[in-house]
Order: sequence, then structure tokens, then C-alpha cells
Amino acid sequence: MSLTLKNVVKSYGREDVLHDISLHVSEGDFLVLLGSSGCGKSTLLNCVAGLEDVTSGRIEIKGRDVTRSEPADRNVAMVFQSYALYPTMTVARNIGFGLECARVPRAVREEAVLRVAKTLQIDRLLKRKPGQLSGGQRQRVAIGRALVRDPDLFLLDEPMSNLDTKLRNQMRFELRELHRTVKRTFVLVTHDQTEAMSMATMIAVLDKGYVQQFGTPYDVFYRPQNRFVAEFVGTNKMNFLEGELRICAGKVHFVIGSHSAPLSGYGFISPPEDGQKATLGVRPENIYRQKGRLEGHECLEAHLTVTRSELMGGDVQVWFDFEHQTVASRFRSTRTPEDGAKTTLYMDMQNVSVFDPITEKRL
Amino acid sequence: MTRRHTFRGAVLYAVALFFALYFLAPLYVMLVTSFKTLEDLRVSSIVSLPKVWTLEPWIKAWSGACSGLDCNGIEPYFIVTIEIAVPAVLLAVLFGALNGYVMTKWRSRSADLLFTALLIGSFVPLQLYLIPLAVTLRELGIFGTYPGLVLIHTIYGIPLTTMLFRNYYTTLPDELVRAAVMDGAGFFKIFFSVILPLSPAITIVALILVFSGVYNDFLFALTFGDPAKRPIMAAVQNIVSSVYGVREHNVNVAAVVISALPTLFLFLVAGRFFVRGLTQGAVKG
Repeated sequence: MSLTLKNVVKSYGREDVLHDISLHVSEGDFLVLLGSSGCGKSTLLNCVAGLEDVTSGRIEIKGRDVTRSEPADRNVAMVFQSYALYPTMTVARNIGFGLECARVPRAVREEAVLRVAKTLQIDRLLKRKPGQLSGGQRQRVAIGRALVRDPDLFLLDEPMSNLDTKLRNQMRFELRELHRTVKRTFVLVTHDQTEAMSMATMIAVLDKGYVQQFGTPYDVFYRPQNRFVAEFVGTNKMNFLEGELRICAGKVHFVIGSHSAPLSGYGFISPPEDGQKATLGVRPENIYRQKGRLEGHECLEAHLTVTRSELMGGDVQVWFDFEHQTVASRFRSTRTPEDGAKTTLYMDMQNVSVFDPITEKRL
Repeated sequence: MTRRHTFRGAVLYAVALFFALYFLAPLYVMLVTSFKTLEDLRVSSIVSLPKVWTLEPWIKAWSGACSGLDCNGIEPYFIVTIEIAVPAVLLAVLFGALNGYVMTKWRSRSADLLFTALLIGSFVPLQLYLIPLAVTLRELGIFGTYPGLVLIHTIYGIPLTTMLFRNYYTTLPDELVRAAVMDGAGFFKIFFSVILPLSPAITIVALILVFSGVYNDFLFALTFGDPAKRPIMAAVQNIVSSVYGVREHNVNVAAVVISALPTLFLFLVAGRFFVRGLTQGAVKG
């Protein structure tokens, strides 16, 4: 039930919408395709489903080449954004339609439908039509339709985008539970990075038809491979500070104006050069007001002026001026500081990313 | 409500009433005429009510009026018409629905081109088709036969039904078809299990429109039909023009009223679906 994509390319006429996409997830993984609208994530999902043909490349499910197979022969199931329940059929027939098409005998079919309905707690709704269901119930029926066929691969196309926040959180939890119990590979498409972070075992961040990064949620969050990923992931937008790298006595420092901080714990992909221009990426939650929180970590200490602040529930978001560049940070506090106030900040250099300002790639 | 509004309303209603009466007047004249005796007809004005109400003209029109040398009324022709209309209507609607389904849900590059061609085709005057159709039917060896006429009506109905179904099906979400494809349903399984059950209103509209077209047809029946099996409109024309002795206006008029009843009835009974089906296709599309 592994899924492998090898150099998948999809073009409409002369325009390429997916460029050379290669991914591999193992059995039981939960892959999230993350990206903003138009990045090609849904197209990629449709290619895996077989609803769209790939222009070149290979798709393997469970080690079997399915690149040219019909959707029904891939043993995959899909949950659509609009749920796409058949309006004229009862819930029971909606769930059993796949089995009906596969000419499974009625008795076996009914039993399977009942079993799935009980798992999803919709067995009381079996005689209703989709029009008589709430959003959450429709969602469950759509999942039931996928579940009943016991597929190798579950494909979910933004399944939670039509639910309200409360229901969405609940469904997120239930989907994770489902993934744990059925032990199959899931592929979910979303534009919501929180959803991706909380559900995925592997994330593929897509932009303009390219895979920008493919890795675990931890990697994507803490080791973004380029500025796009760094900006896209994370509830609070990452700060980017322009400066340069200096090497003195064999130790690398990040220098910004009159400030300097050691970067000896940073794993550079290739050894940096002295005087090389660099962009420092710091997440707002890695900026502190007390040094005590950073025991043993290398940090950048700076005395900065507050330019703006906003109260956000139990947190305050504060913006500072740092050598004519803006730094945003987030603290637990119930009061906003006054504009113009001076504060000493400590940035955790253990949790930063350094990018090349020109290529925007991780250094 | 100001006085000005009431005045405007009154004028509007007066105009509407006038036109309603204007359009209903011929029907009234036909109805009163069909219940009069010949004697009554000769002496009374055409708008006056019958002195003696009689069903005689209706009975004669139905089963005794002469068309040429046959004096069996319009009953046999009525049955012939149904025999032609039922298969033609069912086939035209079925193919129209299939066309609409293919054009919207299995989109290919040629679909839009095909649809445009179909639209243009349906605006060409009927008379232009007569000779090409006659040649085609002759080549097929079914000119002047019952199957030939059914075929003509089927083909002639398809552009209209295609247009109706296509416009309605564009409003159905494509994800529905994709879901069915994922479920392993084939082309026809999707059509008959998913798409067609969603189309009752538009199907009724298509049925009515094609049926009234076939039923009211005169030109095709006269040109391509079997002379021994004329459908109703051609038969009515024959009855009206066959004169033996006195011209029986009351019988002629009764025949015309009888022949108009089925379509009138259809529109009245199915009017509700008609409005629903038409807006279903048009507004959202």
C-alpha cells in the first residue's frame, strides 16, 4: 500500500502544471499535499486516482505500476471536496454503490454497508437521502463510501473545507483515528498548513507545480528547504532578516549591522564563505524576552524599539524595528507594550533557518 | 397602495383581459360551432350559443367523418399518430439525454463544436431539409413508410432535446461523475443510475415539447409518411377538404377540437413541471 510517484509530469497543451514530481510514501503513511490554490495539488491527486492521465512518469501503488490503469482498477477510494454523494440514492445505496458496480451479491453488500455505517455511527441514517443530512453527516457518508471498498489508498480532496471550525477539528481527529485503525495509506490535499501539520506523517509542499519540499512535518517546520516553504508553513509568519555570514576563528557568525550571533550549532548544507550574504529566518515563537528560557542555546541579543502591537486573545503580537528591518514576535501576555518602548530580545539561534538571498534556498 | 398604483394595475389587467379574450375567441367559436346542428349553423350567428346542444358532430368527427373514401372519422388516424409519436419521442429524448451527458460530462474538444453545429442546424428552416431527407429515405428504402416517418421525427427532435439536457447537465457538478468513476461505474451505469434519476423535470419538458412537435406535424407526414397511414393533422386536413353534398362545418370543427385536445391537456397538466424544468435548465446554466 505504498505509493510511489516517479518523475510525474502533467501538461495541458503546452503548459506544464506538474513538473517532474517524485515522491514515495510507505504503507500506513499519511501524506498531505500542501499548497495554495492553483499549485497543482488537486491535479496530482486526480492523477493518482486515475481521473486524469499523466503526460509522462510512473505511478506505483503497492509496487504495481498503475500509470495507465482505470480508476476502478487501482483499488483506491476518494473523498471529494463537495462529497459528491448521489442525491437520488439513499445513504445505504450511496455507500454500497461501489460494491454494486463490482457486482458484489446483495447480501454481502448490505452487510458491508451496515458494518461501515456502524463504524462511522451513521447506521441510523441509512434510509435517508443526502439532502436530509447535515454537513458533518454527509462527510461521514462520503468517508463510508471510501471505507466500504477496503482500498489500498484513501485519497481525500480538501475534505474539511466545507465544515465549520468546530466540526473541522472534530473531523480532523476522527480522520486521524480512522487512519490509525484501518492502517492504510492516506493522501490528503489541503491548503491549510495547520491541518497538514496535525495530520501528516509526510508532507509535500507544492508551489507552481513543483514539489518545494517533501519531508516529515518536523522537517518542513524546522528545516524548510527554501523561503517559500518557510513562509507557507507556520501559523505566525516567519521573520526574514538580511545580513551576512562571517567566519572568525573557524566559527560562523550571522552579522546584521552592529549585531552578531554565533551559528556554530547550525548544520550548513555546504560550508559557508566569509562575507557571504544571507537571510536569517526566525519564527516569532522563537523570540523571547527572558534569556532564562534559552539556557545553553546560542542566541542573538538585541535591544529593540516597539513599532506596533496587537492583542490576540491570551497572546500579544509585537513588531520591532531591528536595524531598519521588521521583526514580529509573539508573547504570552494580556497587555500590549506602548509604541516606542525599548525591550531586549533573545532570538533562539538553535531554531533558525539560513537562506541564500538570491536563490532563496536553504544554506 | 396609492391611487396611482391601483389605476396602473387596473389598466394592466384590462389589457391582459383583452388579449386573453382575443386569443380565446377562436376557441369559443369553435366550441359553440361544434355543438350546433347543421340547421342551427345556417341560421345563427357564429358567436351565438347553440339553440339545441348536440354531440352529433363530435361523434361523427370521431368515428364517421369521411377522409377521401374512408368514412371512419379521425379515430384510426389518432391511433396512427400515437404509434408514430411514442417511439419517436422516446428515442429523441433518450438520445438527447445521452448527447447532453456526453457533451457535458465526458468533455472532448469536439463537444462544443458539435453543439454549435447542432444549434445552427436547428435554426435552419424546415423546408430546406425536405429534399435531402427525401433522398436519404429513398436510399435507405424507407420512403413513404411508417419507420421512415418515425426516423425523421426522432432525428428532428434530437437537437432540441440535446439542447435541453445539455443546458441542464452543465449545472450538475462534475464531481458526481468522478465519484461514480471512482466507484467503478461504467459509462452507461453512471448515466442510468446517477444522471438520469436527477433529470425528471427536464425529461418531462423534453417529452412534451417533442410530443407536441410530432403530434402537430403536417409537413413531414404529408411528404414522407405512408399515404395509407396518415397521422392526425394530415387526416384533419383531408376531412375538412372532403366534401359530399353539404359542407359539415360543425363536424369539421369538432374534428379540429378533438385533434387539439391532447396537446392542450398535456400543457395544462404538466405545466408545473414545464416551468420547473425550463428554469432548471436555463437559469443556473
